[in-house]
Amino acid sequence: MERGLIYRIGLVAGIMLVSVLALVPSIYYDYRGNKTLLPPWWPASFSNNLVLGLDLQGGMDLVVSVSAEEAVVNELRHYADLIQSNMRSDRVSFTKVDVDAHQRWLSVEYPDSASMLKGSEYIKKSFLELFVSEGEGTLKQVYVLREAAADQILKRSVDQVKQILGRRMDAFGLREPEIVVQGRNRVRLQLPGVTDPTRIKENITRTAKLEFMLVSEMGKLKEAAERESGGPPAGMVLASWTDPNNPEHKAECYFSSGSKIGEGPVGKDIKLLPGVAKTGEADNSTCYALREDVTVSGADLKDARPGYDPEQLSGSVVNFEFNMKGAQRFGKITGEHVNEQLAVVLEDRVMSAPVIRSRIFDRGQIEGGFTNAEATDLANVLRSGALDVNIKIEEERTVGASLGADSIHKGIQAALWGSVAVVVFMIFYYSVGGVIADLALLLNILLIMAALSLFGATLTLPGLAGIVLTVGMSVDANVLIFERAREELRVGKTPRSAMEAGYSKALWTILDSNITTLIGALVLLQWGTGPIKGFAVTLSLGIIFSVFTSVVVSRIIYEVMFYYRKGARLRIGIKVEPAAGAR
Amino acid sequence: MEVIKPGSKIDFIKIMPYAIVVSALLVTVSLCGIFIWPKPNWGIDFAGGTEIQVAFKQPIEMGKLREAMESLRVGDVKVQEWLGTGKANTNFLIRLEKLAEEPAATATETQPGGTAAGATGKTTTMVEAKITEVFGKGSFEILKSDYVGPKVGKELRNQGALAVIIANLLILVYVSLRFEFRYAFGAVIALFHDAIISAGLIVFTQKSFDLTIIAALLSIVGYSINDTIVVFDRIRENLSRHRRMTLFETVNAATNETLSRTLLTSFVTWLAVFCLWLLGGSSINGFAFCMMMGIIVGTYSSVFVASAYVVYTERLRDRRRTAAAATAGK
Repeated sequence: MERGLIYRIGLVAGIMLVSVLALVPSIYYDYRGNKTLLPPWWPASFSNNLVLGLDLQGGMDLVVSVSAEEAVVNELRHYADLIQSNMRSDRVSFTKVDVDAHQRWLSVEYPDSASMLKGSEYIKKSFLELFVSEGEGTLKQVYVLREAAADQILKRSVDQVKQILGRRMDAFGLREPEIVVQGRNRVRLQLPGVTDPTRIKENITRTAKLEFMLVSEMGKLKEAAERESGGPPAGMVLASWTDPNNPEHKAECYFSSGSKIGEGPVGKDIKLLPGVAKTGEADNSTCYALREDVTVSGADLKDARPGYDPEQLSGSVVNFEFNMKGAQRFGKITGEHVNEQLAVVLEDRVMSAPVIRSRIFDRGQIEGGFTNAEATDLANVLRSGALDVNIKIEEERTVGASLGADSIHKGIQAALWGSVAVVVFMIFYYSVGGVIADLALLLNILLIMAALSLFGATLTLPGLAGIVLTVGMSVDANVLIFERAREELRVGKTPRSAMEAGYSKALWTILDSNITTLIGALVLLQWGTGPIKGFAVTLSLGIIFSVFTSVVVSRIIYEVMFYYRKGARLRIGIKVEPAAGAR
Repeated sequence: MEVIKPGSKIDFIKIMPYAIVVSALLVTVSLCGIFIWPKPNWGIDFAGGTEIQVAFKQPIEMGKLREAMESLRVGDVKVQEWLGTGKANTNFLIRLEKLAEEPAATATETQPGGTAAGATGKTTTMVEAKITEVFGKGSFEILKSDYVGPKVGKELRNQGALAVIIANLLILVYVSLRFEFRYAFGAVIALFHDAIISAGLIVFTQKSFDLTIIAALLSIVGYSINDTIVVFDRIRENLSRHRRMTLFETVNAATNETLSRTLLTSFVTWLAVFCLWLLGGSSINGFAFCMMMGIIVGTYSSVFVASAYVVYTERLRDRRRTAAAATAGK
């Protein structure tokens, strides 16, 4: 036997061995229990298994987005705080440092040009991300963020969202959740085996922003309103308050559909927030005026656990513990404001506003008539960290486990019967040649599955469709070869040279036609999302392997055949009388 | 076995004018279908909205379900039964479109509750709650639910169209590299022809035009070029082998010689896709249908449309040449 042929046989045998090794872990795998059934001595490099897509195993695919504008405004607010406190400590006088959330700019006003020069010099030196967009040289200067800095901030914000959501999902014990950043401002969560999509979504979208704010002397506005008018008036205005010293400082608290508050000009550093009824819903009858200048952020938590308060008969509570930084600030404020009311504000609702009896350092409690599950979820999101930006669901796809199982069943049925139809037809049309083409086809399917296992790729329902399509398309190469060989036989060539001519003349045609199909598949791989990507993957693999199996493998079979039987007839479904001179 | 006997001498050049008329007609009708009437029945991927497949344990009245959904007042409601494996009146497809746009979450707005998902992100939850309220807990199962926000829907649509165009351009580049540009252009015209007519068929049957249809169109584009290339390869081979033959004769001969292969491979692939259509279940049904039609159109186009382009440009060139020779002779 020629040396080249032996090498090729060796190559194919090697590839087949690797394929079988790669496929075994997927066969010996408990997909329900999500554990491998392989013996422990199995080599780790061959232990990847086929991953079923969410459409096949059931689960949730969620895309959420972060608002770039909001991330920028948050950052500007942070700068504004820094500028104010630093200018105060440097004794640079200023009238106002303000952030416009709609225009996304930061403005600084000065009382005179001397402080303006000093102040703008300081900002120019310390905040390279900012540049003056309006009012250069005047007493009011408007700054905006440089574009590169804004991109940076968005990126950081998105990364943070990804991490926090990852921590939140950990508590649900899902198998292999996958959370990735997608595009500029999106995060995709792929969560297999979700049983309660509603609860998951709630846990993802809530900000979990916890704050502690001192209740202002204005007190509960409802009481004020009741004193004045004996209850909420018919209009939406529930409570109003006017600063006796400054009539411009007045507060009005509206509730439209029980969820949104509009606020008028409020006294400096005063924020109006609704209270919460014991049922956990927004309570339309209470409105708190809170001091924004005396707050402790709940971001500095060490731990949060659900628990029961023996005095609280109405439900579960969440106990939390501050870290060092949080405890210091909390201790300072509670120490300074004994006998005042401190509001526990969760996601912009006042959960409770107990009176500070004595200085508290490191622990506290959130009550709000939670059920056990709510308290568990709340403790989880608090532990995982608060989101400083709101996130929005852009896309959601949930597949129930039973539909997934049904899809697997149907996909496999289609693949099976599709293959049987093609295999039978090929034998019917090309007799022995058909059998050889079928062997190439089966090897192709083996290679696709092995490659999917080896790379831990995801098999989706469209992926199964891609395999079915490949089954139909991959015999094309052999058809081209056989048709060519038939022509050569008809002009009187010997079986062996007819087959060789078939392979060599059809080669470029096979390559051309497969490369163009591959172009279509690769474009889909680049632009497709989710399950469609699975289709592109199996189709691309199938095209590549089909060239290999038909051009290399089926040829080896013929060459071996001609090696053992020099004068073998070429059975490709036609009868040709050997031409007289051909022997 | 042989379907097309060797030495078949069908005069494709003669049939071509009719084929061109038919093709032009089909393309025009399809384009009208896509852009004027009846327009694609955009699936949830592209239209945006919520689509929920729900299976009830006991048969229910569809009217009651529709009423319940309409009472949610979140957008246009469509409820239809789909034939799964279950009993009659148990499987339904609920579709909510044109969902009320949620207010943009700006940083200034206080949003009590902290959930900024807005009404649209919550429709699935609302639908589930409503069905539970009307039909009772545990009486049904949500098999599948999809929500696509308006922004994502638009992006997906643009990306899909872009993908089809890019695939065509890349194929144009590759075929130009391997053949003459003239051939490549003919091949790509055939591809657009296939993609447009296949899309037209989906539009006229009012099947849901979703992401899987885009996948099918791209596969059709990638697949139908195969046949065209086989024919072109043979034309090129014959041109260098039989120098005395005219281009028309060569094209005719090449198409005849490859006809058996063209029909055979198309049939085998069609057979596989047919099984997919028959057995693959509802989620893959539209895809398989589109592929089945696309393979037929693609096979026809590689025999008639692609070579027709080459033949007619050649004829045009010849005419110009003779005209030029005539004027030069005077």
